[in-house]
Amino acid sequence: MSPPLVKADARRPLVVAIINQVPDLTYLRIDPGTGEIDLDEPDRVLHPNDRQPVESALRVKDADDAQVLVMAVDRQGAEEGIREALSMGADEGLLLSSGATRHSDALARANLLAHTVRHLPRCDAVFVGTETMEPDWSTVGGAIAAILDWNLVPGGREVRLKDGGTHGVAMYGAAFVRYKAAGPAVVTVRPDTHKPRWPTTWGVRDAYRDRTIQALNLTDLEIDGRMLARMASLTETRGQRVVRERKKETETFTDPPEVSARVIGKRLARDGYLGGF
Amino acid sequence: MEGQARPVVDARTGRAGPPTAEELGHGMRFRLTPEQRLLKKTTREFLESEVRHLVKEDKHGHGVFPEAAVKKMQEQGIFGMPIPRKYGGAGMGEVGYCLVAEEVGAVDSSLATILGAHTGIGMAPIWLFGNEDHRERIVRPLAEGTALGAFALTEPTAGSDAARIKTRADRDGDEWVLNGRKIWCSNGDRADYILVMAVSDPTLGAHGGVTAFVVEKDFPGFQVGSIEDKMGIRSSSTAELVFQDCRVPKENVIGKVGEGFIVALTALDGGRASLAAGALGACKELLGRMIDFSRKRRRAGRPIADNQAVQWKLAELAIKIFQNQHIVYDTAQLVDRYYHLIAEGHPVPRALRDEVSRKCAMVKVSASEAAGWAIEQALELFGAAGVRDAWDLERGFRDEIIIEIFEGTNEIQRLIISRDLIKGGNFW
Amino acid sequence: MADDELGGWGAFVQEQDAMDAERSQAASEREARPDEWRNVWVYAEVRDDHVRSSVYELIGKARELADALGVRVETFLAGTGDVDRHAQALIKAGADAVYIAKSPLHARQDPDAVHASLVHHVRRRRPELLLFGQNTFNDALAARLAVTLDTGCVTRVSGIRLETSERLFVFDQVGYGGRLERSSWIPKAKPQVATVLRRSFTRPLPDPTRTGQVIDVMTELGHEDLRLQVVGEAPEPAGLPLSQAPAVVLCGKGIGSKEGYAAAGRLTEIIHDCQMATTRSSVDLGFGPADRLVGIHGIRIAPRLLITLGVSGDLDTLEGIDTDRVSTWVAVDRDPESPILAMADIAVVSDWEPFIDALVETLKAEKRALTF
Repeated sequence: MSPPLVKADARRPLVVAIINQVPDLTYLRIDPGTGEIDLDEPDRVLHPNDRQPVESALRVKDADDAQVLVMAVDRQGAEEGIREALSMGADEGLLLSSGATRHSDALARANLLAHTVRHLPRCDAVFVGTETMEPDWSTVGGAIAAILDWNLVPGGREVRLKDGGTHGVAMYGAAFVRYKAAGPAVVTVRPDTHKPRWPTTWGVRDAYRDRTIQALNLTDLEIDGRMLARMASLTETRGQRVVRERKKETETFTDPPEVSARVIGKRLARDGYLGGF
Repeated sequence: MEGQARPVVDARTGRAGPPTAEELGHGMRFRLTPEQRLLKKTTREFLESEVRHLVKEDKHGHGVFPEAAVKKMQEQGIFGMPIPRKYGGAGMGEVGYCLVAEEVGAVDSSLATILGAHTGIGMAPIWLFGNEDHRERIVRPLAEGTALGAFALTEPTAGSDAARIKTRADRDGDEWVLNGRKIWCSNGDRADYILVMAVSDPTLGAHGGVTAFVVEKDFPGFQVGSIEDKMGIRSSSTAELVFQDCRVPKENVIGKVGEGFIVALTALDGGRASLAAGALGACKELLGRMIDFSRKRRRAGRPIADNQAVQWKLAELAIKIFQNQHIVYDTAQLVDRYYHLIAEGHPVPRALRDEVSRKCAMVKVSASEAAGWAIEQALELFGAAGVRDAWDLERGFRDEIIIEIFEGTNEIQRLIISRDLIKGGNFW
Repeated sequence: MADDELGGWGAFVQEQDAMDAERSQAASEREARPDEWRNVWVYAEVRDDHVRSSVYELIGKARELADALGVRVETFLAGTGDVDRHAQALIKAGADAVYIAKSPLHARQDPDAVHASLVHHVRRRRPELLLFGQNTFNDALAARLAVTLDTGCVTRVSGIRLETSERLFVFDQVGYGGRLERSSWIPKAKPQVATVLRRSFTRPLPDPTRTGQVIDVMTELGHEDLRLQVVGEAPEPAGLPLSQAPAVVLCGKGIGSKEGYAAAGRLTEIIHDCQMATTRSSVDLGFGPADRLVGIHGIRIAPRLLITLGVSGDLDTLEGIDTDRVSTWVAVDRDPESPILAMADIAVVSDWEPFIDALVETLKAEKRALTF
């Protein structure tokens, strides 16, 4: 019998907010030779978009007395992102450390996260953001739902728990509907969903001094080599480069206004400024 | 990825990259902890998005107290920084308080003044010298941000020579009766609790004859007099307080009867460190604006940043910021140790007390004068744009001057430093 | 513990060994026989009774890739009622076949219904590449589909290249708000699933002579396939504040009058998510409202599209524009010496009024054309 993964009380609802650890852009280092980014940068922070799933989970905490567990796959050893989420009010942190997933793609990490969720004493909903600095991060929610065979709530907001299920607002294509569903759900949260709360000063203090972050390795999670192989990356990636600023040239129109307006109007339409249609 | 060299990992730290001085064994730990970094980052982001746009000044009336901004900051926990967690504060010490004061000072000096009068000199001494009842009853609401504090020492006939205060406190059964007038009390008209120094025994001097009282705003006999109309920090209200047979229960005496002057001096020492932090924040803000402006402003087709005269200004200010950053936080750590001894009721060595006074005086002088210098340089750089109110520089110009004056003028600070030198010799 | 002293590296080495041994075995189990997977699929997303414009961009790119490989471009459309009417437009844009999965359950873009339909037909018809337009909904849909089909998924794609020798698609991706780019590919699994950012590819001109198949496919969806139950409509989230508006029309003193400001407002009705803004001097003269003031005195904006009308470009105003974030800046001013013209991408030396009249007409015509 393995020890429980978290301290959470199995009698109270538990919601999970998953965050991605991203390098602190303030100190972004770029290899001047190749233009590639040094991703072993030690400082990692909570990406602004990742405040959204945390905020969503905290609103469930406020409304339904749920416990909030923040979870991240550790790729560097830094825990600042989780601490920031704890300072917003989350109860506990879980850091899945595994050297093997260090360079894994997002779906492989989704596998590890889903595996962990399955091992929790209980879980009523999982909230995950969309893109962070990592473009593929927006696949994690959909992937976890598929792996766990749970409900998927795309672009969810105002999600609450009720009778072992969830209800709230979901995106159906581009439209928003009110939904309800039995059973636990994975909710993807868009970057513009809420105004996330600010960590208070005492929240910051408690996050560092009173809250615990459990670090689990593969053994704790009872993942053997075979299982790990199934979690292997399917995508391969080549270097992250900084998009170099193009030197802007001004194009001046001195033609009669009707003529220039036609050219410019067509260009604006081509560049998609008229919307989806 | 294949073919890519694995980063060199230090066996001791398990971390990539060269070891830090600390790891090499000769570090001085002059770095913020992750907790402090998060505090600073969060505070800055919060102030930038929630508070900066609320900063407005009434140039013609009596100034507008920034109630909305203060309330937001109180809810954020910014008004209880050094107070331990168990009394409702953030429990992050003088260092945490200075980090926050720096960020507030970068946004608005009036707000920094309101915060300073409340935290450093209003609330902290009540926590330091008060008993359990004071800490629960008075400090808790102040730290949690549901009440505002202030500190009243200066009188019309006692300013820098604070030992000559005249406000009387006479014992009457279970109460003390206060009579007198206090001036230049920041937050005086807004505060719920005011720490007031009064003469409890005129036969004794400052040491032994002065007692610290907490006056609550609804005590009979307490009245707010006139509000000062000032050149700078116009959004911070500066009040005259009138005590006319003001009855204060004996439970509101802070520290021992007759030892109020120690309470006052301790408060002022710590207050100076955070004041310096606010000035440091102002310097950093100005440097940012000056860099930005000198890049954007073009003369004869080139940005003015190309001129050496401009580059020197920027470099000079950067040097001042670097210096002050180090002495401010070094001193804040010293104050933390000092406050810890007092709060726990341990004896405080005389040498430590002197060191705190001296260092707090030095950082106050250094940072306030750096800010004063910085704003002049910024105005020079911005030219006509700086004189206009749009860029807030003229407000900054009017605001910065007070930092060199309040909580003991810089001249008085220099006296504190030099007296210590003459008495104790070279302490380096 | 030895592991802790090594900062977890001991565990890492063990894990690596275990992984290397198991990986090849698992990979061969999963590896599809590549010749079984053919053709490029585009998911034809229907929104408000129209096929989204980005779908046509994808068809254009898919055509190019399919021609290089000698395979077909096929689109998959899930809908109800007379969705067949979209089929010809898809064919004219370059599709060889349009699969139409009709079901009342496709009346909305129900995530479970779309997923079930796609899984069923992708398994059956085995496309090698499956493209979606990128948005929150499709990212989740594509990822869920990829996991169900045991393949990989790449999102926020801005370019696709073909490694013909290995029949492999290499995707250029954009991250960090456009600041980073990288290349990804899915070497050992099929189909390769990707969501593509809008405007990454040019929308092809319709070819009226093109013909193609329209194939109605069976949908055996039942209500039991739907996990989420719709209980009502939800309002759109409130509009963005001016500081976050993706398109802004900024009117300066040169706008001339309150009526001029109102007339320029016609642009906001045509341009997507567009808002009006104004400058200090225009507010002082009473032309524009004070709550839309941009600059050192007011709001800081960071739109992708910025149109300035009669703004000269003094520092007070520029302070309120995050120019690094503007990707298209059209400046209209009658004075050819006006400093703002040198800063913009497109400078128009003209009175704003006739220009805007003509621009509104052009944009209206373009918008009609866009909807086919």
